[in-house]
Amino acid sequence: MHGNIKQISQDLLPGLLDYMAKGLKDDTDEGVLNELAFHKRSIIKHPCLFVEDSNSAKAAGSVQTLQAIKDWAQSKALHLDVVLTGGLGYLSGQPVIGIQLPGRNRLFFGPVQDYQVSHLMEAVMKHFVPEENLLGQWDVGGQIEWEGVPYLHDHPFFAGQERRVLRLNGIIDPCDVMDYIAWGGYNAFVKSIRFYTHEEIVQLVEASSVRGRSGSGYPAADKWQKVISTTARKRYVICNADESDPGAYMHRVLLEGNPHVAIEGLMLAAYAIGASEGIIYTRSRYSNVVDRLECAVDQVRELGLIGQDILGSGFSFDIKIRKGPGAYVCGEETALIASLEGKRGMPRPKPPYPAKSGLFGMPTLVHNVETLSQIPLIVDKGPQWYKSVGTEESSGTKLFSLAGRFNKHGVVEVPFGYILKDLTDLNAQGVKNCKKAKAILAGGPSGKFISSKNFDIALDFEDFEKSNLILGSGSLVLLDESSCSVNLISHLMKFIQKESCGKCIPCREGTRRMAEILDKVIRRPERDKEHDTLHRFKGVTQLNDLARVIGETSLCGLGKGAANPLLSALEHFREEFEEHLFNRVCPAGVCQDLRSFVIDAEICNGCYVCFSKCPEQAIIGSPRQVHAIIPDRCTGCGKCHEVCKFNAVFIQ
Amino acid sequence: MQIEIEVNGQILKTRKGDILLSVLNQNGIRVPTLCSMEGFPPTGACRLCIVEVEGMADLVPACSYPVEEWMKVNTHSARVIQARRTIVELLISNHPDECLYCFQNKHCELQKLATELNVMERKGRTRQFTRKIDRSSPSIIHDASKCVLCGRCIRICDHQRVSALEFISRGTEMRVGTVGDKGLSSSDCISCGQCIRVCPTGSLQEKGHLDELISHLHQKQQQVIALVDPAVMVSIGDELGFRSGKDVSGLLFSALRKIGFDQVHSGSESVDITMFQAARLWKHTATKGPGPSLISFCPSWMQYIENLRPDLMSCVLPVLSPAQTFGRLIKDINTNSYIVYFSPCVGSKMESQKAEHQKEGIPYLNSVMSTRELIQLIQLFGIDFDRINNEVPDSLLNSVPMSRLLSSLSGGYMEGLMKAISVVDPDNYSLDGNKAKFRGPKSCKKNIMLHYTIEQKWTACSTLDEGINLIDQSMQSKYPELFEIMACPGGCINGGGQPGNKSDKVNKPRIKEIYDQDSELSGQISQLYAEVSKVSKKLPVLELKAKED
Repeated sequence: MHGNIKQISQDLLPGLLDYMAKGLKDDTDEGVLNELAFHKRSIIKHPCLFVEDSNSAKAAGSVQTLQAIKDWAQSKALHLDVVLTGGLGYLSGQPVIGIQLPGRNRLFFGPVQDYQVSHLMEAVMKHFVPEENLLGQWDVGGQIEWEGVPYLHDHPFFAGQERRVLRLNGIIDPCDVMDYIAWGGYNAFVKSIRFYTHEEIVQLVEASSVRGRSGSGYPAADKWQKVISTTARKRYVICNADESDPGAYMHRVLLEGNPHVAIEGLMLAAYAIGASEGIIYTRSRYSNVVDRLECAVDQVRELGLIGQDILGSGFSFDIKIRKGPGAYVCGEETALIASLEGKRGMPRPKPPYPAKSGLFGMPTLVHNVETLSQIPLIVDKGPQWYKSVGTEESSGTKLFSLAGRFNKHGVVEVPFGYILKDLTDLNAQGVKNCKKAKAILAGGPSGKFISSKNFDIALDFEDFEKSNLILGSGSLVLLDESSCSVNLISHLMKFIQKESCGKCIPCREGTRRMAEILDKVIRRPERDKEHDTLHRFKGVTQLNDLARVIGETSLCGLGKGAANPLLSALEHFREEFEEHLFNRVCPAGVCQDLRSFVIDAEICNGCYVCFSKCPEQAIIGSPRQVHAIIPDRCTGCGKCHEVCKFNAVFIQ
Repeated sequence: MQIEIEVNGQILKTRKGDILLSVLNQNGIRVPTLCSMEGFPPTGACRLCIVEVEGMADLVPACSYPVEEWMKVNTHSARVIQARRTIVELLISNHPDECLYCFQNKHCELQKLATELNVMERKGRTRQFTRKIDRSSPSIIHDASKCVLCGRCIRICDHQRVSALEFISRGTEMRVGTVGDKGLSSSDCISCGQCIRVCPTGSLQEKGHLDELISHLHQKQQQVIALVDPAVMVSIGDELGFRSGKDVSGLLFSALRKIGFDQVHSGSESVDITMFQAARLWKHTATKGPGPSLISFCPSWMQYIENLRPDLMSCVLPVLSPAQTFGRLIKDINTNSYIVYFSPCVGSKMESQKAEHQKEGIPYLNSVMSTRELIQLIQLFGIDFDRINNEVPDSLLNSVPMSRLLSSLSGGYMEGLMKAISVVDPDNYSLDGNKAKFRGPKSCKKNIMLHYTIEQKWTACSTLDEGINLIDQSMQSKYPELFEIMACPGGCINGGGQPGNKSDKVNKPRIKEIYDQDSELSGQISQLYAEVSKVSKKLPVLELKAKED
C-alpha cells in the first residue's frame, strides 16, 4: 500500500531486467511473469478498488469515499484490495473510483461521494452496473468485458483523446514502481543502457522532431546537441516541475498519477547527454507530488536503475528532488537555476544559455515534465510511431488543462492539430449553465485570447504562430458572457506584478503602472477628486505604448509576455473596455464597483433575507413589504443577489 | 577572431564574443546604463542599454550581448529612445521629488538620464512607498525610497565579501535591505562606503557633520584643529578646477586656516608616527614562527575582522590607526580642542564613534568628514583657490615627513614600514638588502623580506576577497607572513568618501602624483625617528572586540 516500497526479491531482479531489455521471450522467468501479472492486476483473487488519491480528489471528498468503502467492506466482512491511484485527469468526475471484480474488466465511476458508496458497491457486487455516475469500463487485458457497458475511451471527456503520456494515470499505484514496470515502464531505459549508444538516443529524439512543451516549442534535440557540443567535465539535467500558471495543472495531475514517466524521461535524457546528476525542481506546496516523486526516486534507486555504474554499463547518474519556495518566476530556466544554486530566484540575461553555462556554470539541459515524459515513448516505440499523430511540425500529443467556465474540467491529452472547437464542445461538453462562450485565454498570464469566432483553430504550434497566438504551457481558460475580460486582465496584471522578481525596471515598474491603470478602470476612487477622470483617461492612452515597451525590453519571458493578455483583450474586447471607461459600467456585472443591483418589485415577497444580510444597510423594507436598494449606499458586493431565493435581485 | 559589425551605419572592427556595450564605448558611442559596473559580470537589470539589432524582434541589452558578425546595430533609433524614455519615466513615476535636498543633486545618474532623454513631464504617479530611512549606522545613511534597485551596492558588497546588503521581497515590494531588514548597524556592514560610490542616486549616502562643524567654527569656544589625510590632498583638485591629481595640499592648508581652523595638520605625520610604532613591534611578527600577522590601519578592515573573522584578532599588530593616534596626541596636549579629520574614508566615521576611541563619551576625533564634505565646506566659505598662496601645515614633529602621500595607496604602509624598520632595527634589517617595492596597479603585491636568516612574506592587498583567501592560505604557510589589507580597491585613494566615480581616468593621475612626490630620504629618517620617539611614548595599544550577535 501507500508509501511502502515493495521489495522485489533479488532472485527475480536479473530476470526482470532481461524482460525489460528484451521484452517477453519464451525463456522469461515465470516468477517474473507472475509478478508482472499481479501488478497489472490481470489476475486478482479479490475484488479490487481503485480510489483516486490526489489533492484535487481529496478536495472533492475522496477521503470520505475511501472511508465509506472500507466501512462497507467491513460491514459485509468482504475482503477488498484497495489501491490508491492518481487521477484520470477528469476533474469534474472526482472522486473517481475504479472497481475490478476477479475476471472482469475494470469499471470506473465518478463522482462517487461517500453516501453513494454502499448502493454502488452492492450493485456491482451483484454484477449489475448502475448507469448513474458511470464513466465506463476499462480493458485490463484478457478479462471478460461487461456487456452493454460503454468503454471509458468512449466517454465524451475521453473520446478523441490520444492518451500516451497519461495512459497509466489513474490505472497504476504511483507509489509502486512495479506497477509502472508491469505496463512496460523503464523498458526504454533498460533497453537503451544495454543496447543503445548515447548518439542513438539523440538520433531517435531528433527523428521524432519532438518540441519543448513549455511554450516556445524549441526542438528538444537541438537543445541536447548544444549540451553535447560542450566540453565540460560535468553536465546536469533538470526537470522543471514548478508549474504555476494560473489555470494550468497538467504536470501536477501527471506527476500525482504517474511520476515514473517523467523520471524515466529524465534518466534517458541524462544518458543521452552524459549528465551525471538530475534534479527535479518542484515546489514544496505540491506535497502530493513531492511525496510521490521522492518515493518513486527511492524505488528506482533500489532497483539499481540510478546510482553508480548503472546495470554495469559504466554510466552513473542520480536524481535529486528540490523543493522551490513557490515563486512564479522560478519557472523561468535561469531563475530556476539561480534558485537551485541557493541564490535569489532571479533570471539572468541570455546568452549564455543554460545549455552552454547553466547550473554552477556547467552545461545544463532544462526540460519541463511534459517534454521529458515524451522521451520514453519515443525510445520505446520509435520515432515513426511517435510521429503517427500530430502535425507536420508538431509531432505527438499535448496535454491541455481546462479551466474557467467549461462544463467539464480536467486534463486532456490530444494529438497536436486537434480542433479547439472539438475540445470545448465535445470533451469539455460546452459551457457551464449553457451560457455563450466569449473567448479562451490560452497560455496563462502571458497568453492571448482566442475569441469564440476562432474556435475552429487547430491546437498546434504552426496554427498558433500563424494566428499570432501563444500555446504556452497548455492552459485553456474559458470566458463566457458572464465573465468580464477587463476584470480578468486586471487580475492577471496584479498576479504578474506580484510575481515579478523585481530585477528589471520595465517588468517591475511597468507592470505596476499597468496594474494601477487597469485598477482605475475597474474601480471607483474612494474619494471623488476632480482629476480622477483625467488620470484614468491619461493612463489608458499610455497603455498601448507601455505594453509595447515592456514586451520589447524586459529581461525574461515573464515581463516580455506580461502585456500579451492586455493587448489581445484590447483587440478583442474593445467595447467592453470602452463601457468600463466611458460609461463606468461593467457589462458582465463582475466588477464590483461598476455594478449596482435592483429588486424586482413584482417578484419580491418581502422575505427580509436580503435586508438582514446587506453589509452596508443599503436595503430598505419591512417584512412582507417590497424591498428596495438605495443606490448610493450599495457597494455592489452582490450579497443580496446571492441570498435571494426568488431571483428578485438583478444586476442593473 | 576579428570581425566587423555595423553600428549606426558605421563599420566597427571588433573581436567575436566581445560584449556589445564595451565595443560601443570603445568606439565613442555612449549608451546609457544604470546597472553596469566595470569589472563585474552584467546583470541586465536596468534595460537602458538596449539597442536595436536588425533581424531581432525585441530590443537587445548591449551590456550582456556578445557581438556576432551579422549584426547591424542602431543605438539611438526612435524606437530605442522611446523605450529608454519610457523606462526612465517609469522609474521617476515613484521617485521622491527631493532633488533639491538630495545629497546627490547634480551628481545623480537618474537626474542626468532624465535630462538627456528629455523627460519633461511626469506621465503618471504610481503609488509611492514610504520607506523608513535607515540611520542606524554611524557612517552610512540608507534611504530606500530613492533606490532604483540597480543592484550595484549589493554586487559591490558581495565583492567585498561582506554581503550586508541584499534584495528583500519581490515584485513591486522589492527593496534593498540588510539581514532581517533590521538596519545597517545590526548587519555585517564594515562601513567601507563602496556602496555609496556606486549608487547612481542618493539612496546611499554618508552621515554628514557639516552643520555641527560650522557651528563649532563660529563659536570659537574650542580650538578647532584639522587633520587632512594624504589621499584627500590629491583628490580635491578636480572639483576645484585644477588638473586631475594635482597635489593642492599647500593651498588647502591655507584655505582651512582662512575658514577658521586654528591648527591644520597633515596626515603624513601621524602616518609616520604609527609606522614607527609598528616597526617596533615588527620584530615579533618575523620571529614568532609561521602564520599571518596583520597591519591594522584600515578601519573597515578592522571592522571586518571584528564582524566576520574574530579568529584573526590575535594576528593583528596592536597599533592604532594614524588618525586615532593623532587624536590622542592632540587631546593629551590640548584637552579643550575640537578635532576634525578630513578623510577619504567612511570607515573612519564609524571608527571614531566606537567606545574605545572615546574619552568620557567624547570621541578623540570629534568629527570625521569625507572629501566630499570638505569640498562642500570650501565652497560654503567661498574660498577661491586661485587667489590664495601655499602654506605649510602645523607640525607635531620637527622633521621632514617620511611617507608623504604614499599611505593612500595599497602597499604604501608596507613601504613606510620598510623604511621605519631600517632605522628602528638597523642591525637586522637594511633597506638596501630589500629593494622590493610595493608599487604598481596590481591589487595584490607580494614580496619576500629577509630578517636574520628567517624569511618573511609581505603581502599588500587591496581587495578583501583576495586578501582573506591569502590569509587563509598563510595559515598553512611555512613562512611568517605580514599582510597589509585595505578594504577599498587600490587603497584609500578609492575610499568610500571620495568624490567622483572610480574610473581609471580619474585615478591614474592621482596615483602618478603620489608616486612622483615620494622621494628618497636616507639620513633624515633617523632624525624623524628620534622626534617620533619623543611624542609617542604614552600611546596606548589597539584593542579589538568581537561583535556580539
